[in-house]
Amino acid sequence: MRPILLKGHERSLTYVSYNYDGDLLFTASKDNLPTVWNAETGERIGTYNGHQGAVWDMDCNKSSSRLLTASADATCKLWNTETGEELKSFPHRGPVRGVAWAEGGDEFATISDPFMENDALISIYQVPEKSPVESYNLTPRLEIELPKENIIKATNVVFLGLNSSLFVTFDDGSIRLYDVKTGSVLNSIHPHQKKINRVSFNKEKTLFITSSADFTAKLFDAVRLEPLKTYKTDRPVNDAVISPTKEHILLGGGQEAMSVTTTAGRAGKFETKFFHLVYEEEFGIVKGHFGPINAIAINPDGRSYASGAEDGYVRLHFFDKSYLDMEDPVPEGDGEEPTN
Amino acid sequence: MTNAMADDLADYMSDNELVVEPKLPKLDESFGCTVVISNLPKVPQAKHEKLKSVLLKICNKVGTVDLQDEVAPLMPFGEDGKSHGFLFITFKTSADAAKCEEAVNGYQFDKNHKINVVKYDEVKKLKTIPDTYEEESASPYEPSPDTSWWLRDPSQRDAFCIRYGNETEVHWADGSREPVLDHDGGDKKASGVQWCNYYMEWSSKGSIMATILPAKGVITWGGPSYKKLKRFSHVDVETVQFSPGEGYMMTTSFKNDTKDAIKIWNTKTGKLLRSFPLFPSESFKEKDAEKPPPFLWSYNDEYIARMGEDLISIYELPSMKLLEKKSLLAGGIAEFQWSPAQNILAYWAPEKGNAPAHIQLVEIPSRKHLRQKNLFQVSKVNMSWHDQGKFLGCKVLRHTKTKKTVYNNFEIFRVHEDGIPVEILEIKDAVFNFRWEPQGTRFAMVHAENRAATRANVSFYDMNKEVTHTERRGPKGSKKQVTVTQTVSELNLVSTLKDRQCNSLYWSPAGNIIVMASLGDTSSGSLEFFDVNTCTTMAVREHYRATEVSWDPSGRILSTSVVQPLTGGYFKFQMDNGYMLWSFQGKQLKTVAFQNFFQFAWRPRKNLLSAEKREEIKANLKKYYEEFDRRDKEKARALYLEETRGKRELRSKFRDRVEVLRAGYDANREQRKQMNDGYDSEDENNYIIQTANVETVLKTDEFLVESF
Repeated sequence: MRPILLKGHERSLTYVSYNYDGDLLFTASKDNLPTVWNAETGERIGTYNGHQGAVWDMDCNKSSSRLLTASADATCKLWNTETGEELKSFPHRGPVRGVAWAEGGDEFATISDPFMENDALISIYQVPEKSPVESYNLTPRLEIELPKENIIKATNVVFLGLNSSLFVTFDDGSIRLYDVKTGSVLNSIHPHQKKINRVSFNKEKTLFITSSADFTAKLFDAVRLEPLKTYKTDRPVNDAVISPTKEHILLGGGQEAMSVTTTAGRAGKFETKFFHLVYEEEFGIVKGHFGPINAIAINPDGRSYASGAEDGYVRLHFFDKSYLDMEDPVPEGDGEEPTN
Repeated sequence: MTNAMADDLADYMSDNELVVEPKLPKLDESFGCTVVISNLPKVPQAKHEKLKSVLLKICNKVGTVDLQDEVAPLMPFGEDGKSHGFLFITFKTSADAAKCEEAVNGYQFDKNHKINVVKYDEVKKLKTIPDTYEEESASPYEPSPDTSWWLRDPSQRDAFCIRYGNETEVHWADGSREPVLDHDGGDKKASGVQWCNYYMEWSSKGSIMATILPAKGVITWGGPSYKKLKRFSHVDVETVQFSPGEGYMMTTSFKNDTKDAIKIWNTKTGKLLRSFPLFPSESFKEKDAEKPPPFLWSYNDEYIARMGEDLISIYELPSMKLLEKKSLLAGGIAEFQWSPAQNILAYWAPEKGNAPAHIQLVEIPSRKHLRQKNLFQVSKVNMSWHDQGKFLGCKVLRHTKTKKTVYNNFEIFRVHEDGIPVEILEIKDAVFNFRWEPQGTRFAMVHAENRAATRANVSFYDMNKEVTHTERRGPKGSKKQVTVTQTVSELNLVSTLKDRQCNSLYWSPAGNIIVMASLGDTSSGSLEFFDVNTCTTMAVREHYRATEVSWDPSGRILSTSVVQPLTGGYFKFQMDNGYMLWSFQGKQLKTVAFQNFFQFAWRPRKNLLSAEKREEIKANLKKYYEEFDRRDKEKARALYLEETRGKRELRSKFRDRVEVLRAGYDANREQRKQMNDGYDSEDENNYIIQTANVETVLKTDEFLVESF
């Protein structure tokens, strides 16, 4: 089916995501206006006005009442999702790269880049929904300083294990688990050679997939932090998602924006690639963007997906019936009995 | 010496007995300097000294005789004083003895005596041979590998061999599924044997695979596991060619022109039948040193022939003796060709003196001249036989009297018709390529206005023409008319394709389909798949820089490859090495790239069915089609199950893991609910499903309805 082209942003996309129920689509871009769309019709519902820099990350709580945005203007803002009212702005000492709600929505974590003499930080703020907004403390409950000498930057943050730990990815290809109470490192792995651009979890947060500039995406067991699968491509991977209904992986990427013009070849390789979750085999592509895909999100109902690219467009795709009816290339059953 | 002293020294004493053995010079017991001269006249004692002095005189001429023998060489004699007819002479050096053996052996001593000279050591060896003959026990019978096994392949596949890097591999291909590896020489590698380090060659019917190892010779392999069959020793061998019936093979070394540069072998026994120098005569060598005239096999393995000066030497197989002890005279011959279906030779000779240029057909062994065609102003003739020997096409390059302009014409012999009529076809254009349709009556040629043209035309001609006319049938007086189609022998143009990127033609072995390719350095490697019956282009494809094109024996698959030569030109062809397989409709089946790719060779397979049987199969194609279709499906299914077994395992393992994770997640449901203020997002009851109907008016039409 023809995708719906969402023309709302003026600069390259940084973030695309559905809310928990899958009826809203949130997008952020390097322009300063995070936007919410009707996930079914592609109609623009509204924008969240107030940031003065590129918005890197967003997170909407489970009940879709409150929205967090992380911006390069060194603030993280809390919004009323429905009205677009800015509830609170949390100032940081450097550009805020990522933001994530804790389970229950009473706490959230941010990661910020080092800036001037300030270290990169992981901060946890308390914003109980039942308390009045005025009572929210602008100083974080916990601050974890990332040592400056390594000059590594955090790229993603997620609460795991019923808010017991904080999962953070870094631009050197490593992943760490922090204790949310003490800030100590619980576990650390180093699965990628280059920057981890994005990490995306399944709904249950039992599996996650990392997208890396080393041309691969890797699937992990989120409980034991064990790598399960590797999806190899011929380009840097900017974002990848696990299909909620099929054993598929959707993966987007492309040459870095700066090297597009210097790269040989007719195609810039800006397609969304489809991989089989288990066999690691690529079986399809969806073309359309004319810049590297920066963000991909799949609707929790598995019927549609959205991709946002360097070209400033969000393409909202609804799967054809043939895709939805597609069966596993290997028939179900143990295969001993021929099933004709 | 005190006892105590002896004890002190005890440690240094050996317990062994002292053996006193002086180092004496070793007696040389060999007789390398001694020769035995035999077959001498048996002379009485009185003549002993005379004979000795004569022989010493002879021996002294070739070397220095040992001082002792100079005085009295040993010549044994019997009781009656008569000598036994032999004598021993020892030389100063063994080199002199050898010289004597070489020079004096066979010397005519007198009318009745031709003397023999043998080294004494050789004579001594004879003593060791037992007097009684002991029969050697026969080695146990080892059945030779079955070389026709591959013809019984249940899937009716064809095989091809590829040479890349250090590897030599045989693969199966059937045109619908992935090629399957048949043999990669793994057993040979494991036992440390290199089974090919140069080119390989299939035998004419595909039974045998021959590999060339230039340092040693040629080895033949056969059977399902490609067992070594025979070894053919030929140093610096470069090519191997099999006779059409595979009974014989010829190995050639172009490097050193010795008297055995070309060797003819019996394929089965490995016996060398005869060897030849590269050129039939010295004068030939000077005339055209680049290319020695080739030996050519007759179609049924009866003869092998090579052209010499004004003659063709025909050898009978397997004796390799000149047929009737004399060569076939062929004045001024420039080139000859055997018919592929009969023992008929065709040769052509350019103008010489007053004699015109001519093309001659000669029957062998009767040497009967079947047909001669005289031609004038000929620069060159290219002869090409039809694969069933029905026609001989001769492309004649002619020049005007001034020799300034050249033009072409074709002389086509209808060999199977009475009197062998010749058709003449005039072509103004330059003709690059001329190919007969296998099992057909058509031929195709590439022609262009001039040689340098980048785009050419392709023309198809038929040797037969279908003519329809009406005829009266039935009883006399009846006016019933019937249209009758008749095939008459008449050369006619079928069609001409204009403006094609093409310089080579490849007919399918099954006929009808032809691939027009442009190969070579300056070409793009375009491939046009063309159906001649319907005159339609099925596909235009490209294999960039392709150097070779070949059909599988069945005409199902076309292979195109970029190969680099094993010797020289390495850098020029280094890029894009590899091969592609295409269906005969031009569908790309497979692309394989190699860093260094040297050879692609389909295993030849002769069609064993008679023409009638083939017609019958064609008529009942539907029946066969269903059967094959069913078998194909079964095979695909089996292959598929085989391939998916691993995937099933992966999948079930993965799903188990997801199941465990899911269980862990579900266990925390209550906790999660509490965290979300008692709201359970997993509970479907929290969701209200509403059905909304939306009506959209697509079209409104107004029209009058007649009232009643």
